[in-house]
Amino acid sequence: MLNDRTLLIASVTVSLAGIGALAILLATSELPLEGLATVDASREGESVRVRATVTSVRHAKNASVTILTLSETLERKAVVFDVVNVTKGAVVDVIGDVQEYQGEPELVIRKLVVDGRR
Amino acid sequence: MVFLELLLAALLGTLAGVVTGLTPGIHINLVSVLIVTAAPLLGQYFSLVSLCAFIISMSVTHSFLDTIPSVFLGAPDAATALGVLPGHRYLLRGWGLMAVKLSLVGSLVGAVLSVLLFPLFTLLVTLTYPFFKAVIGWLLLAIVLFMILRDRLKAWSAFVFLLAGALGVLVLNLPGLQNPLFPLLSGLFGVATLFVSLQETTSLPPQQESPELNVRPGVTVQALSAGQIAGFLTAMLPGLGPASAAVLSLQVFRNLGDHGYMILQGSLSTVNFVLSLAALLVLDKARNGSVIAIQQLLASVTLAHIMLFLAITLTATGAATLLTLWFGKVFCRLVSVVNYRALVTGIILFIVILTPILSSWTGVLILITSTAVGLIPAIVKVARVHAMGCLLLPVILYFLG
Repeated sequence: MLNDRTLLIASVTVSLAGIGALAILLATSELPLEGLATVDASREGESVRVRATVTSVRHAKNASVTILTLSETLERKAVVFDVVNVTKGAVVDVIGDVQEYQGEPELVIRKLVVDGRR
Repeated sequence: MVFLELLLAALLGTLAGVVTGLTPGIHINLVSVLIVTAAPLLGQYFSLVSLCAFIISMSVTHSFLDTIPSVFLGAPDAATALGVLPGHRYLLRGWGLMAVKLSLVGSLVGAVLSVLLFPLFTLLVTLTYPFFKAVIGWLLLAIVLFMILRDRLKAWSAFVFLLAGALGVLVLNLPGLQNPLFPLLSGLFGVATLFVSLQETTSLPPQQESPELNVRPGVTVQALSAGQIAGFLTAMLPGLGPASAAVLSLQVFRNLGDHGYMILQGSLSTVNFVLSLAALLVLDKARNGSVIAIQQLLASVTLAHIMLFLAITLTATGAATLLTLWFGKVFCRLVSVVNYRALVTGIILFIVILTPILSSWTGVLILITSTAVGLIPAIVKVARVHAMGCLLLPVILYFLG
């Protein structure tokens, strides 16, 4: 059996190496860009990345929520649980999770890039 | 007919809870996710409320039975992580079943108390949530600093917290990763503890099958009160798990001893679950995977739903109490005849085999890393609760970022 000192050195080394590897993985992995049409109810719970044009922006009253309508060949609603500075007509690159809301698929946005800036 | 359907769903949920509770590494969140995914198919045979009854029954039963692998196998989940060491001490003295029974007292009385106090908790949640909401990030940060500073080895405590926190931030942000919590928590609290157990334990003494519980009433009352406080805190503060909340409540109730600690440990996850229903009703917020699943199944949760869920909780509590006593005796006998090291090795292999199935090969990398991180507190002898940084740090960064 390993003594405590050896085990500690091994554990710290593996921890740091593993975290480093995961950091590289995070930095280099990206969800593939998909069309908005692929965002449907059958993909509920999945994370997707789409690029589309914002055709409407609405901020919920008394809540830090922004509701966007994204348009490509069709429209989809997207929700951001934050107040975001997006204008109608902007092209956005979003990563979000597909959820069903009131019978329609929508995106709950986790990451939003507007015209090349976050 | 509706009553029979609910009863059947609750019964099946209890059986599922037995499987998840006794099997290390299998979390109720996994089964809850499967239920939600299969809801369109299951919905043809069961109502959505019945599916919720299944989830609740499973969650309550799991919270009773998860002490058994924690004590006898040294294989906890995040909720029972802090209970492993005192539970293991009982096991090494041949009192493993006593540890299970003490935990059972906490779960049973904790469940009944939290149902009885439910109206009071909903009022407290309503009154105090605006305050908590404004300061959640800072409050959690203060809790983390408090836990680090109270530890004898502050530098190591901070190191473990930051390592686990960095790991959690990375894992929870990896795109496309399925079931990220499985390898993360299994490694930190499951495999790491089992590995230490392999290093330190070669065989176990004969286990007493009818140990007498000798706990002072004052200690029992204090432990149960600490459990209710911890449960309330987990309902209010996202990211604060039962283990971390228990550490905080122990600052008020300091002299519980091992008996009292096991009672507190037993009450933690049960009370946490019941009070998460209060958060769901009052705040429409889910504090654990089971309640998230319920939220996804039901468009809106009403008071009538909650009252039904509380009734199912009490029903499951009764069944789970009997099952815990029975399985506790089974494990007590098993652990005396089965080769302990072979058993622990088998469990580790089971988790290792399950990981790539649930979380792909990235999950294996996470499991190896989280196991290494989880070993550090055990080796340097700091509190394992600092490894909860894997969930706390991402939440703190979310609220303060």
